[in-house]
Amino acid sequence: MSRRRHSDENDGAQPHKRRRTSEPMEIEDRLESLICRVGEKSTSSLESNLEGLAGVLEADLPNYKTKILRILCSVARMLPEKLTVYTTLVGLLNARNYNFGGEFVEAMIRQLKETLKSNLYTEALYLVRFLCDLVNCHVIAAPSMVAMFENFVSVTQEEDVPQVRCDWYVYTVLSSLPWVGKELYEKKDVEMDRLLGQIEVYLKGRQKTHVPMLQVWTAEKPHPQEEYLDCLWAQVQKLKKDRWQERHILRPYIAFDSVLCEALQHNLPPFTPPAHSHDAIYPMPRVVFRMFDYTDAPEGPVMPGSHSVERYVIEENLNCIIKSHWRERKTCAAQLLSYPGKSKIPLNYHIVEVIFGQLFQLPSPPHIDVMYTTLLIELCKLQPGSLPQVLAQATEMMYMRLDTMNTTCIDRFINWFSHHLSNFQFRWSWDDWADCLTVDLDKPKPKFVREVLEKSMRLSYHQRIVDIVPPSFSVLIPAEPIFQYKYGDESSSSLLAYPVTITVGNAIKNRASNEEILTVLRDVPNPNQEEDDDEGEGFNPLKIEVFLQTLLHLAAKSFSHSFSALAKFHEVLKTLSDSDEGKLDVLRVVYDVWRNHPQMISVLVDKMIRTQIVDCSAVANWIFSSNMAHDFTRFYVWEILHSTIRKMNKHVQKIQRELEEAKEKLEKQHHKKRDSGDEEDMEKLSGDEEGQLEEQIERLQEKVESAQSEQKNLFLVIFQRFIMLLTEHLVRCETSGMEFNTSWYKNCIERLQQIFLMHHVTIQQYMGTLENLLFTAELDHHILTVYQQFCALQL
Amino acid sequence: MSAKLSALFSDSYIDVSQYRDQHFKGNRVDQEKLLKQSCTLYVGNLSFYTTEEQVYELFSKSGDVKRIVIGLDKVKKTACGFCFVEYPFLHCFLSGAVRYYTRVDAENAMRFINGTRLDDRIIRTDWDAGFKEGRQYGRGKSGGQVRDEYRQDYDPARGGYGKLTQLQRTSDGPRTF
Repeated sequence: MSRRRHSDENDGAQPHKRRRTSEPMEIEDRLESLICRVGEKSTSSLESNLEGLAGVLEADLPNYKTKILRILCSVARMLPEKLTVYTTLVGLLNARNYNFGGEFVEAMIRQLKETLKSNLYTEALYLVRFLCDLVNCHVIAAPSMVAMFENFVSVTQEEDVPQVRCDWYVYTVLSSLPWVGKELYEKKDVEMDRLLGQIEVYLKGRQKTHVPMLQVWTAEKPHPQEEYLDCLWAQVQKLKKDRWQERHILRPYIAFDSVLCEALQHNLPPFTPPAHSHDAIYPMPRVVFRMFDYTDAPEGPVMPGSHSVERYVIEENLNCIIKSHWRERKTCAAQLLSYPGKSKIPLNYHIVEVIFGQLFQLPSPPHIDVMYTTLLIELCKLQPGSLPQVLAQATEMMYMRLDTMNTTCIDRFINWFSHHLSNFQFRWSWDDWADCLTVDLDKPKPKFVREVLEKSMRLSYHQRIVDIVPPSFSVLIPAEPIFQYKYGDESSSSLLAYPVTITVGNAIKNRASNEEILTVLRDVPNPNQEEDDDEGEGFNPLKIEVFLQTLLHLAAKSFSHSFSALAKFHEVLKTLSDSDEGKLDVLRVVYDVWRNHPQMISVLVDKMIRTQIVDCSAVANWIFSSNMAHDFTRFYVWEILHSTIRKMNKHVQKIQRELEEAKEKLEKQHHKKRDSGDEEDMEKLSGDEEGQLEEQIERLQEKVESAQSEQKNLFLVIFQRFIMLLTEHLVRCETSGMEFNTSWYKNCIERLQQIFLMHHVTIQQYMGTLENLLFTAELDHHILTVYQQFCALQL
Repeated sequence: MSAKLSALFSDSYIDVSQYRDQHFKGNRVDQEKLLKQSCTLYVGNLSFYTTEEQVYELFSKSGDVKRIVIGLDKVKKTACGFCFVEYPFLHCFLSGAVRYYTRVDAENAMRFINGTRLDDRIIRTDWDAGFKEGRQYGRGKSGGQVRDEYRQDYDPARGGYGKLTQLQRTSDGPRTF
């Protein structure tokens, strides 16, 4: 077998697999390929390709109708960026074969019902939009479409349903209008006006408490961060004023008008939106991200205005492309850059805006953060002469507006920028940002630069950072990530416990056992020792310090060395940390020795939680303790806290799954018993097994309850501490007449918000407790507002 | 109702490469199976100076890293330009009666970290059947990786010239014109 490796230039994409050789499969593959590829770059025109394909499919209908129906339904659902290409195709097929058109519409309705039942609301929206465009292709009669819209809008009259349910139905109607507004108004203007009137009433009465929590910037200038329905409504209003003239959408069916208008149309069957159920998960509200307008693109085509329908369509299509191709960055970048109609718009600006819009989306981006970094790099590779400049311009703009940027978004900005720079030799015009040196270091701009340099250092090394910034920036360079040993130099020889550190150090070097170490540690003088406590049994914080400082010092060389050390002396550490104070002391020592290497603190805390030397609540308490006040606004601290919460969540999920698996096994056992013929035999054999399983299930049930209790407690601790800190600050400011909205306060209140946003799924379970115990009406309204905004997210 | 459109949902970045570890203990079938379900990645083309900390930072961007094993020169016991990155296995979802276990963290590393830079070098990731003691050592004659035996370019981050070229250069002696 050849040991040939694929070359480094081929950065990961693999050659395609060999085709199957059986005939019908080949034809089906071919059909799939033909349909999926129509509309892509070709030597022939789109119209002739569509014409040709319609002919091929018509001929294959007798034998492959089901397959063709399935493929077309899938592309309608999965390739919304090519909507009009496929509606034209269906239009042509319907003109040639009326029955097929009818069957397709029926299949689409079935698919729509399924997607709504399965909480696939985005895909359901694409299906509705497809059906709308089929009106333009003379497949569906306009009045029946209007009737469907009327049923959608009547959802707003339902009582006791979440606002997000009505939102979706209204959004779906509005978002289809750029495609089909003109046609529907031409045929049914009275009904459409009535519809829009109802929508307007609904929108005016909507709750918008959630909006501030979802905005990337709190400032209204230069671009207001609008609630998504408000923005779309404004866009539709403007479209209506322009008499529904929409010029951006590619409409291949116009070329086939003479053929299509001969076709017979179908009526949509009456469609009742499925009733609300408790397991329905509607899409969360959004805020439209805008960072560019027509003044930002210096030359070339003008960027459509924020309330123009073109802007909406472009953003929709670019978002759809990312949704389809995010797994393959080369394809995704190529598809974005070959957006049809790109010559009329400043495409690079739209792409950059859409990508950052996704990256900064609250509560979370649609895809993993690192995907956006890599996608932007790929785009820079494909457009080296233009895209990097737009990206630099965007970075500059975001830097300028850090003062009002949401803290969670700043976190993502820091991660993106440092990772991006590390792919481009950290080249940046740092001097352009010299203004950050003229203000306090805790202000957003210098803070941002410091955090970027810290992250950049993690991806490289300290000297590199020193080399890449101008000398004036030295105050922002992170400290060298070196171990700080309390017992390291001559001055420490006078410290109380110094002799024991030598003994402990030697014992470790001589591969002492855990017991031997514990014995040595009995000689550590106890500063807390009571006079009659001769055994030295009282809690002795100095033991922890002596042992852990020395151990970590010996293991400071790398992560692996430190992990080995923790593993080897796990017993000692468990013994020493056997109380709440012990755990806090362990964390305090880790911080003391590694305070210049936050990355090491993070991995050690992670390891200690996983090996149960400390627990999650201890970490939370440590972060909020007064020792950590100095670092309270640093990024790494919050990374540790969120990582801790995630570990807790994963732990609960894991045990829940084990419980489910055990229950399933028991089910299977019962079925086996029922199905077998020989009852007595089976009973004898499986009696034991069943007993064991039932015992296991009981144990797991307890474990789940205990884990959930720990999880609830963790959130209670965190929220309690936030409330204490914030209340203290607010009261102090009020009594002394100081402005409360300091950098510290903004950071703290947004970190509280971040807990809700990043863990909203888990927190939902504990809403009752939170409301009764913590977020009561007596709370300062600044703090209570955060809670209320969170509740408004799933109203 | 919807077809599985293989043409559409290409995810080629997570495909297994052509490379197969010749020292793998077991048959080809076992190896393929392990590669398909592995959560361990081989990372290549690292600088000799790249640290465990840097690898942690970069690969944490696709998920929690369980363990990193830095590849070592068999003789010198110093880093020789590769490593293994292990991610935890995640139980994911129940579809009908089947429970799907995913390795989404490792997959995202293949999609988004493979082919990007670490220490200014384009690094390459590939599925690995799993770390076993002994696999952290280079298999080249001189102790480093095989590729560093035979390459002819000068790479200051990987010991300069390839080993063979180094030997040739010293045996050729100083040139005179």
